[in-house]
Amino acid sequence: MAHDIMVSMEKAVKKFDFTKGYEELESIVQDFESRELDLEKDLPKFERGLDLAKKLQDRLKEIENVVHTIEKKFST
Amino acid sequence: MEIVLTVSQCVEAINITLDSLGELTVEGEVSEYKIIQNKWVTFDIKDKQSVLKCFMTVWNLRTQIEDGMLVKITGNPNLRAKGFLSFVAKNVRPSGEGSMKRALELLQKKLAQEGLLSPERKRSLPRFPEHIAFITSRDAAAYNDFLKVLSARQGGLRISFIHTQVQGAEAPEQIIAALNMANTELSNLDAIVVVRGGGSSEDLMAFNDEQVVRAVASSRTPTVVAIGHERDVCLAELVADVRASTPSNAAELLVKHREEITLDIARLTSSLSQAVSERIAKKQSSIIGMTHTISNRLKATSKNAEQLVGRITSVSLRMRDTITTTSEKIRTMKRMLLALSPEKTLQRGYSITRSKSGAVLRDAKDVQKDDELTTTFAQGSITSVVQKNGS
Repeated sequence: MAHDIMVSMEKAVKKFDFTKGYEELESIVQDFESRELDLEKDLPKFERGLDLAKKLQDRLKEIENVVHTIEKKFST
Repeated sequence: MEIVLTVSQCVEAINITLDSLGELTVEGEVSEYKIIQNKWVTFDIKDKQSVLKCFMTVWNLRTQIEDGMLVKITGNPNLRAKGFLSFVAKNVRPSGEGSMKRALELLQKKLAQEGLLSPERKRSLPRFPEHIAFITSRDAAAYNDFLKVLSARQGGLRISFIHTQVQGAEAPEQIIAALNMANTELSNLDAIVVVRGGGSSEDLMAFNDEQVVRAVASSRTPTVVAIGHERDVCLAELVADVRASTPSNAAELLVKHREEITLDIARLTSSLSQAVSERIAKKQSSIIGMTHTISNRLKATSKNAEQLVGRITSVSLRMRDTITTTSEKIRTMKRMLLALSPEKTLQRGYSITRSKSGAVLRDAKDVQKDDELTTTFAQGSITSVVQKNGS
């Protein structure tokens, strides 16, 4: 069957990458649990972890899911 | 007037007549089923009296058939140039419950032999899918069921919905096209979900269509497929990376509940804070330890100082004793010396004469006339001037 597909899609807005953020947080925790911390040197990393946790939690507060309908036409 | 046709013209005329019959659907039993060069399919269908030779492409054969199976075929009869009639089938469907079941068994066996059903092929879904291609009919209850459960679990997701028919003759091609499009045209896609609600086994046939099943199996993006109710198992579900029992279950398997993730994040944050506070506590205790060491050392030092003072005191006491004893000795010696001193001699009547410079004179030659001399007696002294040197 011949078909003609027409796609209309909004350009996705680049937003915070949840998976990357979560994995980074996990790796910071793993790192912190696996070695002796240097309070002065590791403080920025600690702050980064807290910041990531906040961003992740903010992202989870989103309620709506966006549904884009992709139009396609089939012709026989 | 007699019309004489060439053989080719005659065959063509017969075919025009045959075409005027339109598309025919014929039911019969398969025999002599063969696949030629993996491209062409030939078989006969027959009933008690008659046989029709059938021909079709492998692509159009979307189910598995075997000799003895009752099938319905749709297509057109065509008289071949070589003089035999061939029914060109566009589609073959097993006819009746028994044939349908058997066709499924055969296809499943074939897919299994190719390894398409093996658990090792299954990919796990991304932990946090954010962009999901959603393939179903917009009119199906499954559409709302999936989205409702999804929203209850998580927000902020991007759903690219592709509408397809989920039953009927058009459904397989549309589902294949939708899968193809999701895989090739959607960027940053995390998962493809294909769902359909319950229905009769005939309604669900599109999801047992060999090409649909292969399209699911070969999807570049991980797939979740939920067709019908729990008890219905379609081959498209068996080749999917994740099989869900219902469209709602597909949403549940796809995304975690936001509360569950919130809890996980809280756990991570608390581990982070704990690691830091443990370090602080350790540092504090090491500082306290150091303070103790220093104060202990200071105490030890002051104890040493006390000992030193004690020692100095005892030494000085001893020195005083020594001084007293020595003074006594000196006094004794002084008394002894006094007894032998010139004064004592003077008292016996001697005197000492000194020159002006104070030097004791022992020889008259050491003085000159007019020199001033001092003479010391036992009591007092006089100064005299030399008048004459007698020597």
